[in-house]
Order: sequence, then C-alpha cells, then structure tokens
Amino acid sequence: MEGILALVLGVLTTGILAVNGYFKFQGDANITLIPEDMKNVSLQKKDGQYHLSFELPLINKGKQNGMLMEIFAQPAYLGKIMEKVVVVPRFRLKTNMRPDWYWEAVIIKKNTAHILEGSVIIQFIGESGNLIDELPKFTLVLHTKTIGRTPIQLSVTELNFDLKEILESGDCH
Amino acid sequence: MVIAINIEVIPIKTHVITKKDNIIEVIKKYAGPLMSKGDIITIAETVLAISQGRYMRPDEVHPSLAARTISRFINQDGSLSSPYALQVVMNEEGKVRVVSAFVIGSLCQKLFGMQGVFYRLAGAQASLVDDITGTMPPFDKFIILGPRQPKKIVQEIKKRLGVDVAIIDANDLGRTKIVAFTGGIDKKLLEAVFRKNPAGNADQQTPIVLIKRK
Repeated sequence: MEGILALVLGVLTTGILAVNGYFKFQGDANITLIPEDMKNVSLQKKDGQYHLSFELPLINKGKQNGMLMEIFAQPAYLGKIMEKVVVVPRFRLKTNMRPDWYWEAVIIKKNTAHILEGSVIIQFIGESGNLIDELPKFTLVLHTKTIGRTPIQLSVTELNFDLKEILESGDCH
Repeated sequence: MVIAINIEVIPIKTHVITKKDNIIEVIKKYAGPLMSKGDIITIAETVLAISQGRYMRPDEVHPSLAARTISRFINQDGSLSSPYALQVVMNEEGKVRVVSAFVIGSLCQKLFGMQGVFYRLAGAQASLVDDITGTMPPFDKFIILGPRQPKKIVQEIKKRLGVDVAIIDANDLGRTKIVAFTGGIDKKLLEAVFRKNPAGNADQQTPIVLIKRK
C-alpha cells in the first residue's frame, strides 16, 4: 500500500514539475517601453496650447505574443501649476495611426519592435502663462496593461522631460 | 458587389450595435427598405452576440488553474490561448466538458494525428468566442462569446421579416462558419459568398449583408 502511495505521489510530483518546466521553457510575453531611447521630442505652441510630442520604442522581448490592451498616462505631481493647466496625454502605435488617437487593443508579436507615438497637450485654464517658466521639468507616468500567457500584467514607466532643455535645443517651435 | 451572375451581395452599414439594440429592429431599420421577397439576410454572429450582451472585460474574469494550464497548450493564433477567453468558455460549456475535450483532443492529436477534436468536443462556444483584439472598437477590449440560441433567433427573424436568415462567422482569412440558417438557404452558396468576407473584418461596420436573388 505504501509503495503504491509513493508511486502515485512520485508520478504526480514528476507531472507537476514537468508541466512547470514546460511553462518556464515556453516563457511569456514581455512588452516593454524603452524610455532611454525616446526620440523626436518636440514642443510646439499652437492655438494657446502646448503640444509635447515624442516617439518611444516598444518591444516584446518575451518568448510569446502578448496583447497590449490599454496604455494610459497621467503627469506626476506638477506643483501649484496643476490648478492652472489641463494635461491630456494620448498614444498610438506608428503602425496603427488612428486619427482619433483611440488606443485599440493590439497583439504585439514576440521579438518585434514598434514605435509608440506620444502626444501631450498642456492647456492653461483661463489666463495663459509661460509654460517653461512655470514648468521647466515635466514627468509623465505611463501605465500599461498587457495579457500574455499569464494573467493581466500591469506596468509603470516614467518619462522625464526637461522642457527648458527641449526649448534650448531648438526642438520647441 | 456582384459575386455570381444571379446574386447581388449588399453589405449594410449600421450604427455601433450594443446590448441596448434589438437585432430585429436594427435589421428592419437598415435593411428593411432594400429587402424584398426571396432575399437572404445574414448577420455577423459577433454583432448578434453583442446585442445579447454576451461580452465582458478580461478584468471581470478569474481564470482557474485549469484555464491557465490548458491555455498554455493552445496555439497563440487561437482565442483560447488566452486564459481569460478559455475561462469564459468553461463558464458557458462547463469545466468538466472543456477539460475532458482537451484531454481527448490532445490524445487524438498525438496518437492518431487528428486535428480539431478539442473544438468539436468542447462545445459551440469554443470556436465562436473572440478574444480581445478580435473585434472592432469599442469592443476590441472585450471577450465576446457566440450568440445565444442562434437557431431560435433566425426563425424569429424570418417570422417577423419574411425573408431567409443566416448567422455567419466569417473572417478575412477565408474561414466561414454558418452558425444557423433558415430552411430556404443553400449553405454552399452562403459559404461561397462569405469566402471573401463581404462584411469585412475591421472598421467597415457592416454586420448585415443582404443577398438578393436577381
């Protein structure tokens, strides 16, 4: 009896270990934004609004495809200026340039790289001010929600913008 | 679009259908003025399911250990490779049925090289469910099940509108499934018409297709 029990336990343990090993070998999606490789950062003033735009590499470094369901952002605390401005961040993939900027859930295949186009509109409420004087540095916190082989994964990426430097480098129009 | 000499295929644009819509009223509103006796009306199965409220966000679904394990063995081209979509199918068809279908399907594939046994045994919802990204916005972030009681629905629509009706699951890959249809329809003709997916699979918003016999 003990022998049979040991055999059953042994088979079960081996089975569980084999399945876990298979899952480990199979891996998962790993959809990542690369803030250090952000490029084409520019700041424009149009119709009283500031438009900060940039391009951010987005890659799936994992062994499986993944679905990027949502991407949304909000500024880190900006200080007192928050009472005077409205900040609207929007994102889209360069391969799916929807004119309405709606973020459509998308499959990111394994080992593929994409460019995420970001646009942040900063608008003064009421009396217009000088954005650079009041907000020389700006931090945007991006949240992404992805699904791969495992349950929903949430991740956070911080993007730091030195608006004064963007202005001085001539990318501000 | 003219597919054959005596058939005219008219994709009909509608508003974005939601669970607040009654599919019969939608057909009447958009296809009614064009319909005549002898025509065939087809409806996209996903849109019918949406009108029945058969959609949910993955966040509302809690994948069980069985769903998380089985989904790992399903090719990523299929909706059921997502533990969420698989769990939704398990909730509809029963966990025991889906797990048994997986075991039998896997054995049949490995031992005899038989494909598709899992989908045949796991119930209709296994092949009809659409995972997120499978449907046009605003439903791109929802898991959408197949329609409820499709056979009853086609009979009801035929009774109300007086034309033959079919519910179709078609896509741009040329795979067409006739989910349900009324008696006066030639299934082969429908399959031929939908091989090119006249309703489109993206933002076309044409869930109703009218087939006119000329």
